Amino acid sequence: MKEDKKTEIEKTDNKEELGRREFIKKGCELAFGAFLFLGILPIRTSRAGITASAEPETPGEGYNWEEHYYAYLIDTRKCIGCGMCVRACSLENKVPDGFYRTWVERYEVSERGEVYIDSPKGGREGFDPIFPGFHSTKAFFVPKMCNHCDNTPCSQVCPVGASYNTKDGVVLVDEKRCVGCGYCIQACPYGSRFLNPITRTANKCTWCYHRITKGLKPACVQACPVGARKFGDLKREDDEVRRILATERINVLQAEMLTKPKCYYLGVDREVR
Amino acid sequence: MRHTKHYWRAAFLILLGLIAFFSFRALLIPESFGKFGYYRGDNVEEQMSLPVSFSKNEACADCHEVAAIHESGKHKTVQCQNCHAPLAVHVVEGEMVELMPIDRSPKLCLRCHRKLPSRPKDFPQIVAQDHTGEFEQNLKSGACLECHQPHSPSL
Repeated sequence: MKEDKKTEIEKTDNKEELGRREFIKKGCELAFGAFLFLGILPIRTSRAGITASAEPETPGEGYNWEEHYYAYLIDTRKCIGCGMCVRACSLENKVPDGFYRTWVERYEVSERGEVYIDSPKGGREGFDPIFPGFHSTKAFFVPKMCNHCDNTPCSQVCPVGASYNTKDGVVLVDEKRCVGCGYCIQACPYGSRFLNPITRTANKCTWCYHRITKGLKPACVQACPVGARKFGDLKREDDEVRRILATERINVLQAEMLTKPKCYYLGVDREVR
Repeated sequence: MRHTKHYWRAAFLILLGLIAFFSFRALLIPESFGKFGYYRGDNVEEQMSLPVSFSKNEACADCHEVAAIHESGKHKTVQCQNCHAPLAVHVVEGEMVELMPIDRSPKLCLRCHRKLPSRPKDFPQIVAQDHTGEFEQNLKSGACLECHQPHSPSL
């Protein structure tokens, strides 16, 4: 019986014309091809960051982004609506006219629940009184800007990897990489992004990344005369923003979007979106 | 093996296609892409090295005596550069390049002190007409400064 089976296998082998010699030969050929293919692959994998380097690299000199994690606090009860923050931001970052990386909104609410909201020129030139006849019972200013979300809808939709989150918690846009498709502008629920008409790329608040990495404060925070804007580093134990986040009743804009914003607000009303 | 030649030809073509694909892909992907994540790693450093325009108030005190008066007055929280201009306009690498602009218009003062319902109640605010007897638009340049010292206002 055993011998019969053996002969049968040999017979079928002969039909396929694949003997042991042929099999080894083909295997060698295949191995050679696979070797060539794998020889090319490492170029790709090292670039995609799959191969982890031994030492964690950090960009820039004299600054370690692993040691920082930033947060921003806006106290709307203190804001006087002077618009100095908007002016400072525009001058510091050379924001084109008519576009704003940060802006100040004015809310006036009447007893009947009518809401008047405006932001003339983003608040850059300050505010004039609104039309007479609107009797507001509560009124306040709300400075707005990029919320630097942890769960960013904007950088998730970027098709070319031009928008990204840094390790210290800032969302940035690579101008050289951006193709100006505008998906991110649509994706942002806070309307914080715009298409720069000069470079034709997406543009937004960077928390003045060139300043904060040198130990300075963002231009808007420095310009605020009443301390309505505060910038903090959550990895520092004596940080003011960290203390306020831990002890006060804070809020974020559009928490239902689950974007985990890192711009925290004190004293925002329900009208504010 | 009757069709060895065909196999070889197909394998060669596939190999050529793969080489072309990967080399073209390598050309399109920037050098530092993927260094830290799914983005061009060099951009982080580019963003860090953008020029700084606004300096601190201490920089003004190096040359201007009025900075000391300002530092002890009620306007100490107002940055010099808020009412004037960013330091980069005035000084570049320690050399003065241009005079700082001086805005004497009441509009600048009223930016913060115009009476608005949205402002905190305890913040000093005026209605120009009640305060000066003139409409805001008719106030001449320097009208506020006739009575108030802008760097350290006492009233």
